[in-house]
Amino acid sequence: MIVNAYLLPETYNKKPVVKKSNSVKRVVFGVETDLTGNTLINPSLYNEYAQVIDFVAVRGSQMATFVNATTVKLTNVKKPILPSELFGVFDIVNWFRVYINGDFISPSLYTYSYNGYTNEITFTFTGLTFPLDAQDEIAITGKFEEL
Amino acid sequence: MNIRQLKNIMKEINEPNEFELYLYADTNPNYWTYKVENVRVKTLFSKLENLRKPSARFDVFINGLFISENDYIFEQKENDFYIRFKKSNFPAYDRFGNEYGWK
Repeated sequence: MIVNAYLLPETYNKKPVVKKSNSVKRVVFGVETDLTGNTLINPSLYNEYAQVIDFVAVRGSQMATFVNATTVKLTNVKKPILPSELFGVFDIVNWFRVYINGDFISPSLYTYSYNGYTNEITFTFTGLTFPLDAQDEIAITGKFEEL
Repeated sequence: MNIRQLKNIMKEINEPNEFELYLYADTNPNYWTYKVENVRVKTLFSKLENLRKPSARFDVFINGLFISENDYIFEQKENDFYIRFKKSNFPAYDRFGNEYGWK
């Protein structure tokens, strides 16, 4: 291959030959952190924000199991931890949506507890005007992962 | 992955919308079929698929009542979305003793 070229001085007639200017393109910085704890081979924005994205993505929908007249439970589920970045932003009052025979039940009418060992979330109803029975269809949706 | 892809993920998982289906066919002995055109269930970023099972991708309501996932099956045909309600899971007669007629 033959290359022909001119050798230019830095200045010619007291004027610089190379004129530098700022590019009109934006300067985009890449990923700087990875919070997954994995080896940093293919850094991605998903890995940087995985905790928040995963939390937002989690959604479960399951028919609850009847326990007694005031209690039902979800089995084989995992309740995710609210990432600190979403404190004060995520509506924790409506963490779940509970429907009894199709009717929406206000969160003020029940409490819930999560057992991470048995992977169960137990709902205890305190203000219902009727007792639950095994024939009732209790559907629960919300922030829980179906395992 | 860039910011645009990150935005796409958020659109997939955090952009709820709502559609009204219309009765498509009720002659099948087992199902009432409802349909909405030009609707497709969003694809999910592969790493998130386990966090949101197919049954949790959408909720179904009839006249405001939540319908259990046990009471219907859903189907995607090209760009049309179908829900087939299982006739056997709904009462044959209403509270006045009349046969249910779906609209």
